Amino acid sequence: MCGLAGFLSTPPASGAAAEVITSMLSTIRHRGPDQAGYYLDDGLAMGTVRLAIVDPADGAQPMADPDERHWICFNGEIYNHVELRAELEGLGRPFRTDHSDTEVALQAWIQWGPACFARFNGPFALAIRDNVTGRLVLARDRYGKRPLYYAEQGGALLFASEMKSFGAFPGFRFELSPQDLAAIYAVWTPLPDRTPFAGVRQLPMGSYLEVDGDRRSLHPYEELSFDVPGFDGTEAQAVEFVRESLRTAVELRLRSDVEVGVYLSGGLDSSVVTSLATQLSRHQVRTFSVAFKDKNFDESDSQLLVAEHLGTEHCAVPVTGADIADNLPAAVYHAEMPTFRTSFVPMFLLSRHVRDAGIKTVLSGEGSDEAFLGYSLFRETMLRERWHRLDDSGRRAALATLHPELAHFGPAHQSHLLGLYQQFATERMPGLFSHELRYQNGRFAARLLASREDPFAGLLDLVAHAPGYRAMSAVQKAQWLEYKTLLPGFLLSTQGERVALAHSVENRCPFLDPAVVRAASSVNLRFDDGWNEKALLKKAFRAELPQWTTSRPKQPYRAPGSEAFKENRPDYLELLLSDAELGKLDFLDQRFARRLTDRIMTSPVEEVSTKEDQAFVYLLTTAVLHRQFVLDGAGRTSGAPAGALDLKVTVDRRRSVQTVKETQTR
Amino acid sequence: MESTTEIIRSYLEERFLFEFDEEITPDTDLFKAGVIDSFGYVRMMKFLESEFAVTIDSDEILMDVLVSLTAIDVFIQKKLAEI
Repeated sequence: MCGLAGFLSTPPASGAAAEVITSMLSTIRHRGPDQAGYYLDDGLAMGTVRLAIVDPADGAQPMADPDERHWICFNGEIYNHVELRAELEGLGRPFRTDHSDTEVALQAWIQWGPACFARFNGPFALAIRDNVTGRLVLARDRYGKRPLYYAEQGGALLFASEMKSFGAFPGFRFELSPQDLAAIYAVWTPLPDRTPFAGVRQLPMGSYLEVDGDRRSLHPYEELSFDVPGFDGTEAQAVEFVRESLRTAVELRLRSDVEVGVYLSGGLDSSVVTSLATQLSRHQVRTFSVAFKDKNFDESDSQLLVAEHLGTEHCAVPVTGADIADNLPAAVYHAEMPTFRTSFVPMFLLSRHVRDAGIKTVLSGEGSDEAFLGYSLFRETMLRERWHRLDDSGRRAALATLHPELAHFGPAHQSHLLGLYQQFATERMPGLFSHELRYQNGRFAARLLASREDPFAGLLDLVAHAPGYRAMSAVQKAQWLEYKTLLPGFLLSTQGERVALAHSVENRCPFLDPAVVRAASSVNLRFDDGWNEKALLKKAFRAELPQWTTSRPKQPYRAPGSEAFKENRPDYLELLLSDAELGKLDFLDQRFARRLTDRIMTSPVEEVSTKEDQAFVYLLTTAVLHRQFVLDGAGRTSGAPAGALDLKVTVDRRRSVQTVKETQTR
Repeated sequence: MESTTEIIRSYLEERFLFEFDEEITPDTDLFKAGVIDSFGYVRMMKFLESEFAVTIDSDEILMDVLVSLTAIDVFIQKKLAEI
């Protein structure tokens, strides 16, 4: 795993290009502390920081083909690189490394062009320069797991794995974008091509950007679709099919030249991954978990049960509200995003522990709930969709089992909930039916902004134009929205790779294997009604997991929210408590922000509703982000000194520079 | 003595951190305006039942869509008149 950064500028980059690219790379050194390198030509500077996992000996970057016409900066993993290499060698492509997947990506591009991306199984972001035509291509994986941002600055196109790199580019300044903040507050994540910062875009998942001189053209190479033929066999065969798909996905993700650990949350998905990893590893598997003192959040018992059952070497990292308050700013710095939950902070602390334990790579269970319909959101969508066809007892029976973890869904409130669901049984926002109840909380948070523009305008537009979206079932639309928003925009990024790579740990997600996603789509709702979530997945692994693991109620992963800050009063809370500080966030509705802060600070925890808690966490993380990026200019000062980079590859192809220096050390 | 309208109005304003004004009027759908969520709705029902000593059964709740101050107020006044 690595990070990349670069800039394309016409007229050609100045003589300072090497210094600038080195500074940009320094800001993301945490993503790849093992080595670094850059490539310069007339107009382009790009480089990588590298965490050496596959072919540490000769996978150094930037890497070229033997003709040195094409140069690549690659961040990610192609799990099927062995198979692709064999195929490419059969086609006559020349390879110089022993088994580097970066070289496979480069040769695949040369052989197949943009059609190569859909053949990659694994997360990636890359930049490839053709120094004959001058064309630059940026591309990103189908699920948007690896980040790739870009921005224009003074005639230059900047690109990087993390936005903070842009701060190291001369003249670049971060500004928060109220319009994008509104979408983030309302939807929980930015739109697939957006960020919280004005003028900073991200490459949408499953797409590539071609840059040819001043021309930029963005193309999707793979559309998200659940339209696969239904599984044509018995339930027992479907169970075996799911099991085998996952087994292969885990096996591929254990391809590594370093030890691979597992994040074990104690839920079904990470237990499935742990079980398969245990079977497929030659050594005892090491598992890692977050443990909370607060029993409302803690899953230690479930974690230990699985660890003991499967015989892993388990380690739990205890996290308190004070730890969350202490580490929030550092975690926000890495996330580069306002957040509605604090749950990414414990994951930030967990990755630190994992790194200190000598592990660079972990498997985790993300992606399962989206593929196998694990979230209660899917059941709720089904219920509201058939609401008008159900009688009173049918509605009550469904409501009773919808959110067993939420007190206000208990029997005492059923009459009230009937009224609520009645109102949400008809689509109000075209295409967003599945998420309309959830988005009520988002509307509340969007009131933090002074502007009263519709925070859902961008998402409504996105679904209105998404190929194939209209023809999807209500549940598939719900899946589509999860795959386009919460999964890449929070779970895989803020709570996933950004906080893992903060401590140089790469996470791998077997449930994001395209074959697993297709398998899930082919069996979902064919053998059950979806009401017992992930029923087929449970059946597939029942025999090898503790009985409790496949029968327990689903517990969403959460961490202490506003109470952690109220109780621990970190210094940076002053950003909200002081009118002068709050006033610096001039895009906010000051009155609402003040009332919300007062409510949180003065109300007992049990009086604070989920939406208030989420809105407050948004407010606080926005203030911290504003401080770090807008006022303090992240990237300008926070990066490690350039000397700290271990520059293994420096290639200077600038004809415009008098002294051509080339010091390749591989 | 406060009128039912005033009681409901101040409950909503205090509970949901807003004021009725030209933007959010007594006829505004409070869901659409981002004021009420599911948890808040259930709490509001509980409040109405205890404050006005009425019972809101499911048939009524399905008939009357209690999403604006006016609708809630009319509903409560009707319930009180029945007592």
